[in-house]
Amino acid sequence: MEIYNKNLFFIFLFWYFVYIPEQILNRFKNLLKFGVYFFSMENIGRTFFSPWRRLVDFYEGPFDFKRYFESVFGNLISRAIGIFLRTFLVLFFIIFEIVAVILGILVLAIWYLIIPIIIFIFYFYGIYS
Amino acid sequence: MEFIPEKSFLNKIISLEKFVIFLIVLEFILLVFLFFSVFYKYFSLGICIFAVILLLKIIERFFLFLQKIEPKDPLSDFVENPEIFNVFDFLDFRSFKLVKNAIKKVKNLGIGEIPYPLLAFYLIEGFPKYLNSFVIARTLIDFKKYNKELKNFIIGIEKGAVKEIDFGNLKELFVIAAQIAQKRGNKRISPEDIFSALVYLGSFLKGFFISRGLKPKDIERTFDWYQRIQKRVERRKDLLDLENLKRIGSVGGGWSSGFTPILDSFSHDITYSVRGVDFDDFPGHDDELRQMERILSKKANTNDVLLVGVPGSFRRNVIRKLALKMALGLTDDTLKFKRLVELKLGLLASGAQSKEGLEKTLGKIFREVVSAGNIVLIIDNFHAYFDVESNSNIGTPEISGILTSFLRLKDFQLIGITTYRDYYRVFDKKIDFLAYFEKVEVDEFKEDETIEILENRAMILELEYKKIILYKTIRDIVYFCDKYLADAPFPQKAINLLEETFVYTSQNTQSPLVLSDHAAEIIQQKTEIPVGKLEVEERRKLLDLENLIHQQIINQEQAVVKIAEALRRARSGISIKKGPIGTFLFLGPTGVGKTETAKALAKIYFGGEKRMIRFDMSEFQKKEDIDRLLGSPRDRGRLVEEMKNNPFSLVLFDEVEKAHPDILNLFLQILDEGFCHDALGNKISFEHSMIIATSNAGYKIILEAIAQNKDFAKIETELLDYLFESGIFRPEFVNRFDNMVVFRPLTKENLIDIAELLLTQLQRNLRNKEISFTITKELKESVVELGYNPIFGAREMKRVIQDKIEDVMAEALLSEELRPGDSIKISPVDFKIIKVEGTTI
Repeated sequence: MEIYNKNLFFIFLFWYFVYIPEQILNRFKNLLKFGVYFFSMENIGRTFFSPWRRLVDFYEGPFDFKRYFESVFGNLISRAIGIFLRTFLVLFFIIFEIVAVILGILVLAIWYLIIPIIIFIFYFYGIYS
Repeated sequence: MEFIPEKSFLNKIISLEKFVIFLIVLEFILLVFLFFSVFYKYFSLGICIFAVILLLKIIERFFLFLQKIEPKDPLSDFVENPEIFNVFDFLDFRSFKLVKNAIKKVKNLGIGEIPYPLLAFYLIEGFPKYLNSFVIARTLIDFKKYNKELKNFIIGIEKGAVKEIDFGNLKELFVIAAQIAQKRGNKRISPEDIFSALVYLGSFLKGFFISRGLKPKDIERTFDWYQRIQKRVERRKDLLDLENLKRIGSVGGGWSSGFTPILDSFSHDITYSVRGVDFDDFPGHDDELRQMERILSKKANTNDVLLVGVPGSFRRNVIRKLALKMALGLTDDTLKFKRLVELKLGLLASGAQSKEGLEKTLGKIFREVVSAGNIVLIIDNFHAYFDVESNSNIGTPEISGILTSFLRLKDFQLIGITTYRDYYRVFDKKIDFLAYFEKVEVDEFKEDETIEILENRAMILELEYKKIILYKTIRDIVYFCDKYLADAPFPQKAINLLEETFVYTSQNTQSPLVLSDHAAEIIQQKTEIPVGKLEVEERRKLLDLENLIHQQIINQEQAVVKIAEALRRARSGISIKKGPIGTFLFLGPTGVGKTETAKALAKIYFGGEKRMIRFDMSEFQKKEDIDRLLGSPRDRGRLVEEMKNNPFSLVLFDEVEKAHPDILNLFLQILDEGFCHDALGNKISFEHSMIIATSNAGYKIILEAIAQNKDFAKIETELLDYLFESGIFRPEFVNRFDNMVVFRPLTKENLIDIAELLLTQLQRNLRNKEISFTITKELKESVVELGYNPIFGAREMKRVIQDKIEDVMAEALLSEELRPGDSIKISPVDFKIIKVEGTTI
């Protein structure tokens, strides 16, 4: 927005109601992005069903039902562990993001409410003192 | 270009500044009241005061925002087309105030323009305290004190009656300041940017700094350094900045990658260790980084990198930079969450019981790399594991076989670090193996990048050694390395010298400052080249060169004058020619003092005859002899070896006409550029050496011309014509020398003087044995009579003195017929020793 030709009061309003909230939102956007990075969500998303730590059993030999079953079962367990742990990580990620969003809204709300609160305090003080 | 502050947006804010200062004072007073209201339990009053403080804080923040608003148009527009803009629209808040004040002052004085010193005064006035401290620490110049000098200048300006100010002199200044600001990444022009520009343009300021050993560029770089630190601090302060947050690390990134227990015990995870570092710490090498990223992101199995560069060119810098990008998730998806892991093969080899055991472990490690799926392996000195028979690689394991089988897999990614020399020596013929790799060549650091890396490194060393380094020292370290350690690349040599200078200062001095003299001392110890203060001695020698040479060389006035002039020209730094200190072609008959002059020069200028590297070019008549000079992939050449060991020396190529024409061609580059390359492509510098080639080709022309009493200038032309026509030398060869010096044949008078010179040496030796030897005129004439030969010049005289005089004296000394305290002379007839009392021995 072009602010160079506006008066200072208008610029103050712009700063207070647009610029600073935008900065706050940017910071919390960073926090949300950091959540994605910290909990490796891109990677987890791509490999959600992968075996845990790539622990797999490659069965290569003459067909033996027991050995084949063992291999399939072992790999399934490995995948199950992977999915289980990743689910936990995703849950933590969701909690982190929710907390970040709440914090963001809270900070934004406080910012927007600071001036009304100050006015309220003055009003309150004027009446009761 | 306009200079109207009133039209600028920042002008609105200036009037607010005093009001904001008042608010800050008020805020402080209210804080005191708040404390007392809480202390005396007037809580409602306390809340009210708190609310007011909050309001004041908001206003202060708003004021800060106003100060930092970006200009309406980008700075680049101003740089490209300054004429259509108002300068004040591009100044930052501090600059705005300072320049406005300067204009006000000039208006009050009624002078027609803003003098640079006056502007400098106001800029310095506005420098924050920490900037002044930084400048004092880095340049030993106290700006605030300097401002007292400037104040006197301002007081000295006489009041005039001019009402309009001409801003003509400021136009260029602000364009340069804007360019500097742009280079520093500033959105607006800061006082530091204007001051840097001012030092370039203002002769008053330039003179002040130059008299303190600082060039305008140095001041600009000192401010660059300051602003870089400031920006880094600002960046780090922002805790919710995404890059800062990412430095914390991540969890779960490796959950879908395999475990690497064996690899972990023999490796170092670079991605992990660089996490806390800034990109600023790794300047340069951006092209190499882009290339590496492109290759490693490929899906094919040719996604391995061979990082090739000269040792010391900071090849690992590229790897660290890539590791940081990967750690912060700034690469493309293929490389995100991968680990750059350096395999310590040496450690692995030292712990292995047998070759088989080692190969087995290596196989396991490589399998781990493949199964992990997120590893890019790094092997330093990659060539060493393919050239195990080489002497320098004894004990290293051969890995080519096992490696090739893994390189076929696209999940196995490798970065091998090697040198150019080893790349061509070891890998050049392994075409199949090289097919898996793409070569990334690492360039040498540029001077600016080296200075930046030294500044970063210096701050760590300052903390470690509790010493402060001046900017000038950093600049000189780069200069010394460039000049005296030319064969090694930047920046490693400069980093090493910086570290050594810190060690030297803390071990040998009490000085709290790391100075250029300390760095010069180390360079001198390393290269034996006189550096720094000793240059005074060099200056004295150069001014008195003719006399000093004539103490050892008889006649050859013209030759000596030419040599002295050429040397003074080369060493004063005014010569536009690059290359060695001086290059001379000495022509003339044998025995006229060509080699002796070279020896004398070595003694006078280089500090001793041992500083003369002599090549008898009659030994280099075949083309294959080039290898003996420059070396081959297997052997080192003599010229290369000598120049590496003694870069500050006189190189004498005797009888140069006898060398093979291809060898003479090789000299063209040395004489012209001052360097050549050895068989392995290493640069050999001749910049600190003097080259003299001697030849007696065409001596008959000189002898005949002298006999006919021809003009000496004509002799030179005739001689050159003969040399070119007969194909002895080509014009481009002779033209490459700074000077061609023709030595005159010696007259009998000259020979008598030479005989005296030679006999004086003998006299000196006898004096050491307490024997007095009188040189008579008859003896000198007799020596000349026996020693003179028009073809061999004075060479025979040495032999006569040796055979007729030295031998007789040696016998007399051994038989104790000659004792300390004796006074003798030599009979000119039969060369017998005569004791001065009259006894003949």
